[in-house]
Amino acid sequence: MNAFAAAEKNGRAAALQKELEDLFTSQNKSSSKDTTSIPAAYLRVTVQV
Amino acid sequence: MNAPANPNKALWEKGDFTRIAATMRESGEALVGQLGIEKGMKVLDLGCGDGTTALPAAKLGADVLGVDIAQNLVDAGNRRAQEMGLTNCRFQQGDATDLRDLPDHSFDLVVSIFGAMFAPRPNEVAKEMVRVTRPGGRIVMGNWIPGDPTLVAQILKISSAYTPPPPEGFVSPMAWGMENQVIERFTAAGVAPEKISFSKETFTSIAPAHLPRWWMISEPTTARR
Repeated sequence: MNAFAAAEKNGRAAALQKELEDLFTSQNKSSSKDTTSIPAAYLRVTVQV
Repeated sequence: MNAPANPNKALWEKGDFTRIAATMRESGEALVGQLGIEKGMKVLDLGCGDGTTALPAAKLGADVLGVDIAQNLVDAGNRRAQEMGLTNCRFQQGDATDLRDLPDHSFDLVVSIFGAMFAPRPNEVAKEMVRVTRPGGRIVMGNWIPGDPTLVAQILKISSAYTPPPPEGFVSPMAWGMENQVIERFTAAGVAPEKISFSKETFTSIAPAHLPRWWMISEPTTARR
């Protein structure tokens, strides 16, 4: 089940939305108000076969 | 006996992942530029979505096959390849845990950027990736990191607080972001540990300022842990 569907069932959809919107705002590194730029770290795996 | 159906098919087809993928083009192209892709190289992009990394690889001259569980993303990838005039890139529906249509040792490079990590049965995924890669070839995966303070791990952390506990035996896709788990899976597939290397990299999503709302609506991974 999608998190939003689960949150709606419990009447918590607005709380989930707020948490995610706050997250996006805090992670946005763009200096322009018209653009969102959000970096995310990942693990690059290289396998020599 | 047929392999069990991949439960991710319906999930990925439900959202419109192409809108999220559109924010990843720049980083996708930059990543592909670092992979030493040459003209004529045979490349498999597993969990390719609508071609964020497959199409840049084809633009470098590789002969690219993109495989994804979601038919809507396969269709979108083929449309994008056609629009770009790329005849050396095609997309087909398939399951990363069971690539039976693809012969052994048929690719120089197998790429999976935030793709195969979401497939169930990770040991089967590792086995299949190794099987279809030619000896001397490479596999490159990009996997989100559990507990990382940046965006994707935090989305998953927040979402998990709103969803029911996963079923018993559930293996989190985020385990692909843990070096010890990756080593365990590939060594079980016959790769020597010294042939596996890691680096921590950054992928940046760039979009108009309204990104947050439609990301939340479209992002199928909000259902995952």
